[in-house]
Amino acid sequence: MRSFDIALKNIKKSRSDYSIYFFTLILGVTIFYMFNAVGTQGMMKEAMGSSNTAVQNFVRIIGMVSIAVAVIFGLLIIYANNFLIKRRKKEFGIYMLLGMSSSRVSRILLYETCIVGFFSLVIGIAFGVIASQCLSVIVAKMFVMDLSDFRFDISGKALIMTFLCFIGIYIVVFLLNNRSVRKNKLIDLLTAAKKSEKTVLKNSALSFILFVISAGCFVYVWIRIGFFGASMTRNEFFACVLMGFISTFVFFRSAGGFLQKACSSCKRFYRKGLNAFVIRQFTSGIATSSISMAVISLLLFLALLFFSTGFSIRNYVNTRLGNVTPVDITMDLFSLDPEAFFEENGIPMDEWSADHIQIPISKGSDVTISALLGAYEAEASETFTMADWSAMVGVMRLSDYNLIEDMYGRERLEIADDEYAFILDFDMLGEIVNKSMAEGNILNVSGTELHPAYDHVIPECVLMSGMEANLGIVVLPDCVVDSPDCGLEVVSNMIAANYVSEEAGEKVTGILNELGDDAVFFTTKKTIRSSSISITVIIVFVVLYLGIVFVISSAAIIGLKMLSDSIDSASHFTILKHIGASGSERKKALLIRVFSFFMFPLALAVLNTLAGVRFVRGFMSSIGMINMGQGIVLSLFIMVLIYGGYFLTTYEGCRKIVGI
Amino acid sequence: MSVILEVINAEKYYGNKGNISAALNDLSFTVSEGEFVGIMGASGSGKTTLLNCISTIDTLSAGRVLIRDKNIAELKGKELDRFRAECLGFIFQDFNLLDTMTARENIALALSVRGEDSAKIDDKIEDIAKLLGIIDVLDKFPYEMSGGQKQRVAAARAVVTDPELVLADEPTGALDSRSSKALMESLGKLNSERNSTILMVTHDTFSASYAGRILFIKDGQIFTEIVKEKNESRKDFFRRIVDVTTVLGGELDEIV
Repeated sequence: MRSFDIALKNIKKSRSDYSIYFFTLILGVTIFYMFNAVGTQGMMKEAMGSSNTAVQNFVRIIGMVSIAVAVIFGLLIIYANNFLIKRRKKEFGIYMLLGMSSSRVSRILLYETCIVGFFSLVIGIAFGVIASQCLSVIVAKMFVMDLSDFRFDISGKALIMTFLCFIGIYIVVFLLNNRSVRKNKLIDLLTAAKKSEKTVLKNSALSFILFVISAGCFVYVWIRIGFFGASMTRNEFFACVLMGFISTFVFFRSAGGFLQKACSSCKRFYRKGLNAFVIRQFTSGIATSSISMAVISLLLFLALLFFSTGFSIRNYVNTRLGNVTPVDITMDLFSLDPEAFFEENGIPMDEWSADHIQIPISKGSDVTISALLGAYEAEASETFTMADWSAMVGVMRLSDYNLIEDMYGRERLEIADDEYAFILDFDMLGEIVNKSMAEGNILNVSGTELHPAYDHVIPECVLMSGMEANLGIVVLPDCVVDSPDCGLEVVSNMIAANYVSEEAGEKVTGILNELGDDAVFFTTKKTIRSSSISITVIIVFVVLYLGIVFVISSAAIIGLKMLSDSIDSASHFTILKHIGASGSERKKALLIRVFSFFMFPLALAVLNTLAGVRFVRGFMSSIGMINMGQGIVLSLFIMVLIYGGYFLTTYEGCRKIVGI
Repeated sequence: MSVILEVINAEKYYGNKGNISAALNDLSFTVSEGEFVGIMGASGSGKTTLLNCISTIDTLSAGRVLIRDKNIAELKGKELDRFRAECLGFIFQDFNLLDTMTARENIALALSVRGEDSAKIDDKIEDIAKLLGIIDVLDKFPYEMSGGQKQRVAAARAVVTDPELVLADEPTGALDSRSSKALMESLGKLNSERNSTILMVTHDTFSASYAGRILFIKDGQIFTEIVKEKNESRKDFFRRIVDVTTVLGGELDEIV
C-alpha cells in the first residue's frame, strides 16, 4: 500500500477523532479570511467615507490583531494535534514494529497533514468568502448605507495571508509530529495508550473552605463593580479585577471537591440511577483540569463582555452623530474679514452657503484656563500632565453666542451683566472646572469681577469636533466685551454654515484644505461622520474578531478534553452496560457530562459578564450610551452558533468513542 | 433444587459461506440454584464464547439459553437492560471498576441503577463487604487498592444485587497466587453463605477446585464433567481436575 493510501485511510478511519480538529481548522480559516478580507471590500470603503486612510487604518489594525489571532490559532491547533498524536502513538509503534522505516512513517504523517490542511483551507476559505460578504452587508445595515453598489468580490491579499499563515501552522504541526514519532522509543509508542494514574479528587475540608471563600469573593466583586462601580477609584477597581481573577482559579480548583461533597451528602439524590457516576466524572474532571477551566472561563467572560459592550458603541455613534453635527461646516477662520477672505480665494460666501453666521472670537490674557480653574489648577495638573494652563480661552459676546444657539436649534443662554458662562464639552476637564465654578470662582476681566452664571460648565459644542475635546468658549456679557479697555482682542472669526449644495461644499472644503491650518481650522459634518464611523467599525470589528477567536479557543479546548476523557472512560460505559444501565441512561449520562463541562465555565463567565455589563453600562450612560440590547442578542447568537456547534460535534464524537 | 440456567443444543458459528468454524457445537447443560460451576478448557475450546452467549454479550447461531425458563434471545432493548441489571452479575479478569469512584460507590452504583431505595443501600454494602473482607477499603479509590482487593470489590458489586446468576470470566487471571486464594475463598463463601449461583470460566486448576462441579469443554462440546463428592476434600478434587486436564492435554499431544 502506498503511503498516501495509508494516510487517506487513517483519516477516514478516525473521522470522529478528527471532527473537532477539522471543525477548528475550518472555523479558524474562515474567521481569519473573513476579517482580513472585509477591509478590502467595497462596502467597507463606502462605510469609511471616501478617505483611503481610514480604510488603510482598518486593514492595518485588523492585520495587527491577525498576528495575535494567528498565534492563538497556532497554539490551539498544536494542542488539538497533540491530542490526536497521543491517541495514535500506538498505531505508529505498530507500523515501526512491522518494519516500516521511520522516514516512511514521517511521509504518512506529511500526507495526512497535507490532506487535512488542503481540505480545511479549501472549505474554510469557501465559507470565509461567503461570510465576508455577509459581514459587508451587516456593516452596511449597521450604518444605514445604500446596498446598490454591493458586489461579490474575493480579496487576493486576504487569501494570500490566510494561506501563508495556515500553511505555516501546518508546517509547524508536521515538524512537531515528526519529532514525536522519531524521538520516541518504540516501547513508549506502544504503551502510550495505557493511561497514567490519575490524581483522583478527594473530599477535603480545604476545598470546601476555598470554594466558599472564592464564591464569597465573587459575590463581593460583582456587587462592588456592578452596583457601586461608578464611585470606585482606579486602584479599588484594579483590586477588584485582580480579586476576581484569582478567585476564578481558586473557584475551579475547589469546585470539584465542593460539589462532590455537597452532592454526595444528599444521598437520596446521589444514589439515584447513574447520578453518582455522572457527578464523580464531572467533579474529578473539573479537579484535574482546573487551570484550563479557569482560563476558559476568563476567555469566555472577555468575549461576552466584548460582544455586549462593543456593539453598543455603534448605537452611540448613530444616535450621537445627530447631536454633534448641527450644521454642514464650522470653522475658526484666522482672518478678521471673512467676506473678503472668501472673495480673495474665489468663493464668495453667498455662492456656497445657504445660511451662515459669523462670530468674532476674542482673546485676552485675563481669560485663561488657569483663571477658570481657580484653586483647582493643581488637581487638573495631576490628570493632564502636559497641559499649558496659561493658554488663552476664546471669548464670545452673549448675543453672538445666542446666534449660535439659534442656528443649532438649542435654547438661548441667559446671563446677567456680572456673570460669565463656560461652554465646554470636554468632560474630563469639565469635571474639574465644575468644582471651581460650584465654589463661585471669580473671573477678573480687567478689573471687572464676574461670577459664574451656573455652578457647572455648559457641555455644548461650538465648533464641531468628532472627539468633543474643544478647549471651550467663555461667554461674557456684551457690555464687558464691548468696553474698550477690557483687554480682549478679536483674533479670529467663527463661522457656521450650511451648504447650498453638496458640490459647493466639496469645492469649499477643497480650497480650505489647500490653505492649511495657518489660515483656517475647519470641520465638516461629513468628516466627523466618516471618522467616527471608521473608529467605530474598527472597534466593533476588533472586538468581534477577538471575541469569536476566544470563544472558538475555549470551546475547542473543552471539546478536545471531552474527547480524550471519553477515550479513557469508554471502558466505564461498558461497565455500566454490564451493571445494567440502559442505553438511554448511558446516553443521558454522557450528554449531561459533556453539557456540564461546556456550561460550567460559561455559567461563571455569564455571571461575571452581567456584573461587567452593569459597570460598563453605568460608565457609558454617563456619556450617553445605554442601549445594549442588540449587543447582548448578537453575543447570544454567536455563542449559540459557535459554542453550540462545538458542543454537538463533541457529543457526537464522544458518543462514537464510547460506543453508544 | 430449581434450575437457573439451561443451555440447550447451543451452536455458534463464525465466518461466512464456505468457511465456517464452529465455536460451540451442540452443547447442552443445566445449572441449578446455589451451584458453583466451573468451566474449563484450552484456549479456543469455546468457553469464552459460551460465557458471552449466556451473558447476552453475544448471541447463539442455533439453540437456546434459558435463564429461569426465559429465553434470553427474546429479550430486547429496555427489557434486556433490566434483565442484566436484575438477573446477572459480572466479574471480569481485569476488575472493571470505575476508577473515579470509591469502592463503596462502585458497589452502590449496581444497586442504584436498579432503582434501589437509597436508605437500604448502605446496609447491603456493609453486609457484603463484611463477608468479603473489604470493609477497610470501602472508601478507597481503585488505584489505592491491591489487585485482590479490587477483584473482591468487583465480586461484591456483582453479587450485592442478589442476581440469579453470577458470571465470572477468569476472575483470578490477573491476580497473584495469594490474592487468587483469597478471592476464591470469597467466591466460595458467597456460594455457601449467600447461596449465590456462580458460573466461572477459568483455565486455572487451583481456582477451579473451589467449584462444586466442573465442565470440561473441547472443540465446542462438553468433553466430560466431574462433580465434587459430598465429603471429598478440596485437595482430592483438585487432583481429579488435574487428571482430567492431563487427559485433555494428552489427547492434544496425540494429534501432534
